[in-house]
Amino acid sequence: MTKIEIKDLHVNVGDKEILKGFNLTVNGGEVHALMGPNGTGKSTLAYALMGHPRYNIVKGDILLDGESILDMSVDERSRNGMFLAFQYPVAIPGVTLANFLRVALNAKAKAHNPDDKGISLVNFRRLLRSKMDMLKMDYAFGARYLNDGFSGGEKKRAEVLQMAMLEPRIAILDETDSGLDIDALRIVADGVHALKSSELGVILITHYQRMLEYMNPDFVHIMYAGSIVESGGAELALKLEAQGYDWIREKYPDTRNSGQA
Amino acid sequence: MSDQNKQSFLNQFGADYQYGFSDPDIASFRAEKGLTRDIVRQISAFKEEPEWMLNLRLKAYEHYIKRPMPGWGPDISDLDLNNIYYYVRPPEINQRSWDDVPDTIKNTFDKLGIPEAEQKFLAGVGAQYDSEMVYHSIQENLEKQGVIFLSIENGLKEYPDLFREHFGKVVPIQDNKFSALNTAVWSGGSFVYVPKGVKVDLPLQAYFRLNNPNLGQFERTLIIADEGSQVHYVEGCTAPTYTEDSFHSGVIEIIVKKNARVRYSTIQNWSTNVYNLVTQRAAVYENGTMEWVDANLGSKVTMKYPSCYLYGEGAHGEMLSVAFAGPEQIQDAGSKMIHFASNTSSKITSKSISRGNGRSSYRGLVRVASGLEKINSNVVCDALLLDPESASDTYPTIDIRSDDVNIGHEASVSRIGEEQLFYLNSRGLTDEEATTMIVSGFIEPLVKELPMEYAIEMNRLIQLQMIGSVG
Amino acid sequence: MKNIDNTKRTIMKNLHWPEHWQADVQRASAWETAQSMTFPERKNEDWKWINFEYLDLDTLNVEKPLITVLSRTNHGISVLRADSKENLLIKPDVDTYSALNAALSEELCTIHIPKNGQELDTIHVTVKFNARNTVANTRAIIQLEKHAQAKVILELQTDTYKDLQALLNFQLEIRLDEGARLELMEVQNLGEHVSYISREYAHVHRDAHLNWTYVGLGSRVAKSFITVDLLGKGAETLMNGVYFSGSGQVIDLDTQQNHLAAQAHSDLLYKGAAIGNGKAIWEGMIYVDHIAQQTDSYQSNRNLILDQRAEIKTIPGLEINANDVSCSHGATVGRLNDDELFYSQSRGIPVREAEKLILEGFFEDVLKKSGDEEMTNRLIEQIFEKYDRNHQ
Repeated sequence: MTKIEIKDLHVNVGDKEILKGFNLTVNGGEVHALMGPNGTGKSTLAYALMGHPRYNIVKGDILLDGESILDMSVDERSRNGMFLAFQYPVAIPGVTLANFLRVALNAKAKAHNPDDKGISLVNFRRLLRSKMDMLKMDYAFGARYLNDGFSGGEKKRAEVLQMAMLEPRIAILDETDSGLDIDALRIVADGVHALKSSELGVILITHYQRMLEYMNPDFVHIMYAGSIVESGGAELALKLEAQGYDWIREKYPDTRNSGQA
Repeated sequence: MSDQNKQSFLNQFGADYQYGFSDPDIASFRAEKGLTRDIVRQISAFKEEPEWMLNLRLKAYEHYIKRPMPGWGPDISDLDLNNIYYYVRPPEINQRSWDDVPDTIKNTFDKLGIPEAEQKFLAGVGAQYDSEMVYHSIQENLEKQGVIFLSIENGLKEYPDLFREHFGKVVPIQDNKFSALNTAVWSGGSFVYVPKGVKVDLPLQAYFRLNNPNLGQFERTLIIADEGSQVHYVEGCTAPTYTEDSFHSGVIEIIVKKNARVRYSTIQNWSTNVYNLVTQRAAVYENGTMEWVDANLGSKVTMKYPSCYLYGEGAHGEMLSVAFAGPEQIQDAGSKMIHFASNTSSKITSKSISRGNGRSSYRGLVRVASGLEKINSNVVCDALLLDPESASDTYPTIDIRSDDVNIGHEASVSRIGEEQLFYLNSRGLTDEEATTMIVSGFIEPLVKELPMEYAIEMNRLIQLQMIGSVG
Repeated sequence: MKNIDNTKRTIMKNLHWPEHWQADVQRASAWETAQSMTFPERKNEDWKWINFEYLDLDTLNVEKPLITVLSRTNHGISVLRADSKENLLIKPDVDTYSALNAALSEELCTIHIPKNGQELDTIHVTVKFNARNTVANTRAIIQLEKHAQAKVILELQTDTYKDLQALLNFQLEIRLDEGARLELMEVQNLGEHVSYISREYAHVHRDAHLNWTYVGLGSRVAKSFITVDLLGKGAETLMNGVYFSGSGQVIDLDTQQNHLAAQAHSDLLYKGAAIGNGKAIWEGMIYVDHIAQQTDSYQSNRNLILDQRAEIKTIPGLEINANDVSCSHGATVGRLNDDELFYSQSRGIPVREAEKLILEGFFEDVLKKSGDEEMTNRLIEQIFEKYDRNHQ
């Protein structure tokens, strides 16, 4: 059973401390929503979990199934089941989405078994199409250069497509709902929903309640000034929707000054 | 990559070059090292040439001797022109059939996959080994339509008038020192004529192999595309890896007549001990189109600027080039587009990649003569630098003497972005896989212009170049 | 016009070594260098497009320029210091002109702002040359010490004398110490009989900022070498230029952005036009040293070609020896936009006026960088006047 434990995580960007003792445990089958105002360190958490070199872990640990992943390179983390759906995916001109996904799938298969010859073109195409159907994506999408000239909604859909293809065990969705109109949001949310399984733990970073309506999170956490300050169930998200974040700011004034990130 | 890793990688670099094998020397004749008037006479005598050709060779020789080395471009002072064999003749060969090619040579071309490619996807194949063509053949149906695809020597023998009318007209002796040298000692290359209205669908390919060390290869190719015709000519080149330098200096002349279309593709993969100094030029007439597709991956130093002289109204010239300068390599490549007629257009797309202490330079010229109307030209150069030791230059010259023009040039230099790398890493790709993928994407606009078989080859070559690029 | 072969010759007859400089070792050595050199020939890369071969050097006499400084406060400025002991940035042995300049030049002005000094008003220096069969060797020096700031306008002027000739050999040296800021506008407005050579060189140190605008309108043949060395982290230069070449004129500009330290920024925009049989040439280079990581550098040259007989050359260049850089360049040559012309005409503007309007728009963003409206207008008037004169 999948389990990620984030323990007392302190993360610096440059000289600045952004995460200040962040704790969270996510088990397979659970969906955790992480909410909070801008600049509280939500994206920092996402990048740190994935191992971006600019995010410097100065204290604490991240355990995947009981083992620290801090020494793993980014690609190793990926091949061990971590997945980040980026808020701002970068473009790789000249590389088609389909080719990219095939290389990524093969890299993963090869890491588990060095003799693996990789997925055949026919099987790959079949797999890709089935996932595209699920996300109501045009097949022509596969032939386009990765994120190059994609609209905001297309990029988000392509991120979820990659998640569907790579079948991670821990998925971090960094504002995958932002910039989507309501139809696109429903498609993306349905897609993520369809991927839910007892083996997949999801950390859903979002500003808005609306994604949660589709996702039915098991836990809702409010993050403020570098750590989680409130945890609860769906009712917490509804409270935020109704009251905004002001009550958080009032309730945790001490963290406010040091929490500008 | 640690310095130690890097060094061990650099040491192995030549070892990755899979064409670095060499054959035993089976030459039937070898001229003395260095170049003299007598060697020029000898070459001409071997080829049983008419008087005019011998005289032209001697005239070119005089010019070559007088002309100083170029005062610009990469340093080629290590190239010892006196330590080169200017003519090495393989055994006497009937060029029509692979069966007649001596086993040693045939095995080499088998290893390079040439006969197999001929059967699968080529309209014709020529193969040059050291100084001479050893094989030259074309599909029967094309021959019946009047398409000529011969070694340049047989072209001169069998079609003396057509040959003389065009030879040395596009690239005259006085053009530059190395074109003069080539005209003096040329040997091998192709003679191509495509009659009016004939479209050759599959590519014609010529393959150039240098076997002997310290050898100079001076192939000469003349392509005449008559009105409304169409042809794609592909050249590939490899050589054994020696510690001594070899020298390749070809001259390619192309005549694109009214409404004709010619594409000339090069996949240059010489071993890294070869100096590659080449002159390639096309004269393009009314509504003709000339396209150069140029991939420079190998060689020690390449200096190569394929050009289009747009003589007829409506003519179009295009250049699509990619250069990869690995450790110790200099790729000094570019293009020249000279507009002599109204309503002409040109386009240059150049992509270069530098790795290790490799240096790639774009050197180009767009010139518009005076009194012309409706001229369009656009140049885009992108350079990718893979590590702190790599270097890149861009030297375009734009010289405009008419006012009804629309001329643009853009160039950029960048490295692989940290964010791109992270993104690919986050999908499970190692640094090396990610870098190779970004490089492949970077050259994709060129690769997709190649026939599929060459595109696959190109991607494989790039992957070879990238081995060990990330530590 | 006869072509006189000056290239094979050393310096001209009428130049002599003034006695009052006998004790000046630097000048004496430069004078010696000048005598040992010949004038640059076309085979020299820097001089391949133009030369002064038409100039009969022996008919020229040495002249001292007349200088006016228009500035309410001229604190920190000294004028006509002929005995500067400063080490020159431009070495005397670059070519005959630099040697002659080092040996013979009178300084037009030295603008020196001490540490933390701020000149709030624009220092406006106008230099007028007589330029009747004369040669003038002259130089200006601008030095801003740490965190000093200044705005400078420098104008070089002469009248036009049709059948006479003149040679102006000018040098400009700029040194900006750490954190200094200079806005400089330089206007070359020489008579169309004058041959002009200038070497202009700036050293920009850490966190210093140089905003340098070059305007080249006059002279018969103008050749300027404009170089900025960025020598410290955070150093920055914005280089802007306007040049307009009419019948009988050749304007040839060489710019060089040298990134010799990490994390410096340079951005160049030069706009040129040629009309009549005028020739305009720009050749630029961005050089990035191997230690200059995180360089951010751009170069752009836009040209309008306004006559079938005119000639434009643009030669941008990049030499990049570090990989963590963002460098790009662009160059265009085109004519006035037909759509813009049509649009203007459809609003009732006659074609000639519409063309001038578009020309003004083309140059305006660079010209107004002086911040001096009167001067911007004067330059635009001059451009219009040249346009009309060449449009007969």
